[in-house]
Formats: sequence, structure tokens, C-alpha cells
Amino acid sequence: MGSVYVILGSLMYKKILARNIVWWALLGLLLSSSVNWRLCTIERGKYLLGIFYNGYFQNASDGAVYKDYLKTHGITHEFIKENI
Amino acid sequence: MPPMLRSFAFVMPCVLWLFLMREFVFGLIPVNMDTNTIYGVTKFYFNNVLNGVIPLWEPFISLGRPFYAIAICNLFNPVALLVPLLKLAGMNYDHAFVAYMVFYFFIGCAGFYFLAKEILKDRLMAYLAYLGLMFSSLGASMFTQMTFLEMVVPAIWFFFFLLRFSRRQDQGNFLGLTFTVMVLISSYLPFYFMTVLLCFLLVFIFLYFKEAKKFCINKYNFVIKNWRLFVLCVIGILLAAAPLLAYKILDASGDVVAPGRHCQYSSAQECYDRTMGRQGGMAYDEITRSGTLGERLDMQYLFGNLDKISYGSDSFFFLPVWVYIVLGLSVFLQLTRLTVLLSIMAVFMGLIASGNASGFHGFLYRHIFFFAYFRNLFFLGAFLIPIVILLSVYQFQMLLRITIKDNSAKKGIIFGVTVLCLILFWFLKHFEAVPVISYVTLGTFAIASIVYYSGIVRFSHKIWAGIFAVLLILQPAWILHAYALNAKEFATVLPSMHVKPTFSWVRPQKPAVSSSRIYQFVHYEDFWYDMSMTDAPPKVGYPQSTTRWTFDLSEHTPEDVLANYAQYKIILYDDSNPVGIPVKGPSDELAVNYFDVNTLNLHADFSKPQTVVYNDSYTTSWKAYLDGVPVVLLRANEAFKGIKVPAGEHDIEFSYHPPGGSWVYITATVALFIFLLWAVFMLYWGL
Repeated sequence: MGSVYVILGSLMYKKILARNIVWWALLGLLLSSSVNWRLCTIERGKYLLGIFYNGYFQNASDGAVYKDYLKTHGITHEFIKENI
Repeated sequence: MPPMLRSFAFVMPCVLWLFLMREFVFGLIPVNMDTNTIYGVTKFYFNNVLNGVIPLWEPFISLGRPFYAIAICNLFNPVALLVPLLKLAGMNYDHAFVAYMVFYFFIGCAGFYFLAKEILKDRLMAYLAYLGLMFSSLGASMFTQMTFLEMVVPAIWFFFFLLRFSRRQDQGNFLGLTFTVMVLISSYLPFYFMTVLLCFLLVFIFLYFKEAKKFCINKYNFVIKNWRLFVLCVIGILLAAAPLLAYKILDASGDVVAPGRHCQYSSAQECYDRTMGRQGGMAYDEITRSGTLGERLDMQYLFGNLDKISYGSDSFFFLPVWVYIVLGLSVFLQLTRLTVLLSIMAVFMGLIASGNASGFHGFLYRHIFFFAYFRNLFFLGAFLIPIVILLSVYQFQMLLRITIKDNSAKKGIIFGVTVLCLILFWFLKHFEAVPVISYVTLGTFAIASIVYYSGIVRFSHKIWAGIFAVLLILQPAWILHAYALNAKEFATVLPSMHVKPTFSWVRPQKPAVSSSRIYQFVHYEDFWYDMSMTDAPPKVGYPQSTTRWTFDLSEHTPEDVLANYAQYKIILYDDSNPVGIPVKGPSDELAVNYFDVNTLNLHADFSKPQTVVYNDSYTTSWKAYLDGVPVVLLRANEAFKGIKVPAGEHDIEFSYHPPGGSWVYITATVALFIFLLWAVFMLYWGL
């Protein structure tokens, strides 16, 4: 019985565990669990607003992509007041 | 492949890249963000060098301050000498600067080809890596963030020579390794590279313990056998490090403070206390409160909205969709040590660059001293580009090497490729505004892969590599084209003519107004005055670096009062006039004999003894001379320079002599040049 498990284990290792997919999944898990993504969003909002609005939120003609970004990530005046 | 055809294969991508970036390359769109700063510094440096002076002081900005940026803008790199050479050949400074940047970038791409060839042992795969790097954001971002090139190009060559040296311990490779270390130390803060090297060593020793041990033994034997060469290389590295050390000595003297490090998002009092506190390094929140990778990079924009990338940001991070497709298709490949090495390095770099968004950086900050000395952690993101490209090309090599034993295996692979491409299509659909060209690339890649595995058409490996090379370039070419179109609104003219600086007696009250949107974003106008070598208005603000006493004065004096006072560069005091008389221009009493950025020499003919106050910042490295004889330099009116002058005709001189003087920079330049020539001779002729 023992040898069956050894063979099965070896097969599992070669067919599944020793493939990139497991490694990618592990790294993905590491990244997603160890990064505070909410904080990243706050920091990004702060940076983009600082750059494109010079602190006054008035320079509306600049950086279309970032305006979209702020909109889609819910970074509003209220968000700024509360978080930044 | 015939040499002509091979040269054509390498030159053509360069030509295409130049064509796509033509408006940047030919100066229609000026350099922006930090590259604008670096251009200002480079122009200021070489303009003065061509005037016969190594600039050590910036008299035009912040009421005078040390030329601190001299040590961090790649000025001693032999390639940077292209700027004065092209200037002498008749080119303006801005064109010469862009030519130097582009040339440096191509050197980096060539280095990446050689590195990939050493690792993958396959010319065609190395060529794909070369294309991948050229058409990533590393090239396009040079116009906003040249620091990426300053760090990544020598790092690529470093790893190339390290690998070569590990395989063959000869003097050429050792010299190449030494030269790249010299460039890394002299071009920018070396701590970013040290972080990359640390990650590499950690993972490499863990994965390749036997090889690492063998490398150490071989290196030790080489050093014992070639100890003279080793000593010379250490001397070379010390000479290259001297500019940075000279700045560190100046910083430690307390003459200079760096409010730019401490004042972002902090109260005025906090800013003042931290700046004047003179504590070494930065507090953890000062490092991580801005400039992290999480702040600059969003997963959304790795795939979507790529046609809207603004030239107003230095956060352009982009990899060809080809890279993601290959990584997606490689999920069922055998895991290898090289895959683990590259991928874990990329993850480590990402975690460190995330700053306080992950605990990893905090741990390193607490335990490794140099992590307190650099911020802008998103610079580490630049190293991710070559690492991920190398990883993807390696996976692609493994994909092409899959051996198909029978018909059912063939069907299985074709089915697998189809399913994986459909999953990738579904993945891309989740992002906003993914450009059509990305889908086209994915679709064509899927068809090409199916044809390749089915064996319907039997092309040679070179033809297949050519087909996949075209697919690699397709999407980035379109994105770079869109990027150039977006950047057009930034068109402006930067100061680029050669200047002989002249001494002006009065500073302007208002800034030189530029309508360029470049200067509407961030306060980089300081360097505009360096480029034009004209005086900025008399104010300090929160520059990256200024003198201690000037910063202190500006913090305790209303801005308009300081501006009114310091608009006059020279003020005369005598016993009968303690308020002082500002000098508004040359006269029989006082005239300029000589002026350069480090020196002011005046001819005085006073009827009674005077105290001459020169409203340019005081530091202990300034010296005063009366008729060529050293005299006491006074710290006058809190922050400026003063000298007592007797009645009668006299020559007064103020000159700046910081630690090491000009020789630090001259020897660093010469040492780098000699080591480059030496390494090239040893590598190609084995002399």
C-alpha cells in the first residue's frame, strides 16, 4: 500500500505540483494577502489629485485616464476628506 | 544568418522605435517631470564645463545653494559625454541630451540581448527579449523618468558580466563587472540596485546553493591570482563613489538641509523640526507617504485605457500584451528553478516597492540600514520590466520546445492553447477600455500557436521567431503611437542655447512665466533657471536641498519681506549707515571683475571702510579673499556672506570650495572613462 502512495505522490508532484500553475497560484496568494490594496487606492487617489488638480480639484482638463480612474474607484471630494 | 541581415534585424526595431517616438526624439515634445530636472542639471553641468568651470554651486536658485544634483544625474558616465561632444558639433543642448538618452537606452537593450543569450543560450529568444525591452515602457518613460534608465541599464550589464564571470573567470569580465558597479554608484543612489542585488542573492543562494558556493571559490581564487587588478578595481570603485561621498560629507556638515525630504504633507512646524533636526536618513512615514508602487501603478492600467496614458505623469508602466499571453499559456509548463528565481524576484521587488502597503518593506527598513536612505520606491518597478520580460521569453522558449509524440498529444496541445487563449480573452474583457489591438494580438497569437503545434506549415525556427517577434511589437507600437499623440499638448521650448553666465545685481520679483503645461503640474521651474542660467525670484519654498541658514531665515521671515530684501545681491554697510545701501548696478565704487557659478570677484574703490554683504547663501565652504589674501568670511544677515573692506581700491573675491572640490568630479569622470576603455580592450582583444 505504501508504494502506491509513493507512486501516487510522485505522479501528483510531477503532473500537478511541479507545474507553473501551482507556483503562480502561490505567488498570487502571497501578493493578494500581503498587500493592503485599499491603502494603495488611497495613496493613488492622493497622488493623482495632487498632480492633476494641484490641490484645488479644478484643473479638470488634465489627464483623462486619471479622471476615469478617480471616477471608477469612487475617489470623490468626500473620499478625499475622509481618507486623505 | 549573414552579418548584414543580422545587423538589419537589430537596427530595424531601433528605427521603428525612433519613428514612433520621433516627436520626442526631434525635440517637438520636451522632456517632462524628473527627466526635465535631469536635463536642467545636465545642461547646467556641461554648459559650465564647456565654459571651463566644474559647477559646484547653483547661484540662481533658492538664494544660492550647493549643486547637490551633480552626484545623482549620471554626469560622469562616459556615455553622458555625448552631450558636450554633440554640442561642440553644433547641436543644441536639448537635442544632444535626448540623443544621449536614446543611445543609452539602446545600449541597455543590447545588454539585455546579451544577458538573455547568456541565460537562455538561444539567439532567437534573446532577440525576442531585446524587442520586449525596447517596446516596453522603459524606453517611452525615459522622457519623463530618466532615472529608470540610469538604474536599469547598468544593472542589466552588471548581471550580464556577473553571469559571464561565473562561467569564465577572466580579466575582461571582471573589469566589465567593475565598470558597471562604478556606473551604478556614480549615476544615482545605489540603494535601489543594492535592493535588487540583495533579492537576487537571497533567492539565488537558496535555489542554486552549489553553484553559488562554486562561484565564491572561483572568485576567491581569481582575486588571489589577480590581486593587483583587484586593488585597482577597488580604487576605481572608490573614485566613482567619491561624488556621492562628497555630497554625504557636505550633508553631514550641517551646511545643507533637505526640506524636500521632510515637508510633503506635513505641518509647517513638523517640516521645520524635521529639516533642522539633521537626523540621518528618513523616518518610515517620510519614505512611504508618497512614491510607492501602489500609489503609481494600478492593475487596471496594465491592460485598459492604454491609449490614454498622459505625458503628465511619470508612472508609465507598460509591458506588451505578448508577455501576459505567454505567461498565461505557460501555466501547465514544468516549474523550473529559473522560473522560481525570476518570478520570486519580481514578487519581492513588488512587495518592497509597495512600501507600507505590505509589511515587507517595514521589516527591511527596521533591519537594514540603507532602507532609510531612499524613497520613491516605485523606481524599483523599473527593474520589474526586464525581469518579467525575461521570465516570459523563457516560458516562450519552453513552449516552443514542447515535443509532440503522437496525434492525440498534438490535439491535446491545440485544445489546451485554444482554451487558455479563450480564458485570456475572458480575462481581458474584465478590464475597462482594452484596446482592440490587444485582442488582435491575442487572436493572432492563438492562431500562430495552433499552426505551429499542428505542424500544418513547417517553417524554420527563425521564421517562427520572426512571426512571434512581429506579434510582440504590434500592440506596443500602437500604444507608443497613442502616447506620442497625447503628449503633443505639452509642446514647449526649453532653454537649450549655450550661455556664459553673467552677474545680475538685482533678482527678478516675478517668476519667468511659461505657458507650458509641463510647469503647471509640478514645481520644477527651479531647473528652468539652471537651464537658462538666470536668476529666480528671491524665495526659498521647500526645495529638495538648500542651505541651513537660508532655510531657517525663510521659515521665520515673511515671504514678501525676504523678497524685498534679497532682490538686491549686494548691500553695503558702514558705521554711518547701519540700514545698508543696496547696489542696483555697477559703478566706479563697485564693479564685477569676474563671475562664474562658483566665484564672484568684485573691484571696489570705497571712500570709507564698508561691509559688503553678498546676498547669496552662506556655507562654511565659502571662502573670502581681499586682494588675493584669505580673510574672514562673515555670516551676514543670518544667511548670507559678508566681508569687511577697507577704504581704497581692492579686489574682493567670494569662492566656493566644498569637500573634494572639482577634483572629485574630474577624477570620477576620468576613472570611469579609463575603466570603460580597459574593459573593452580586455573583452575584445584580451590585452
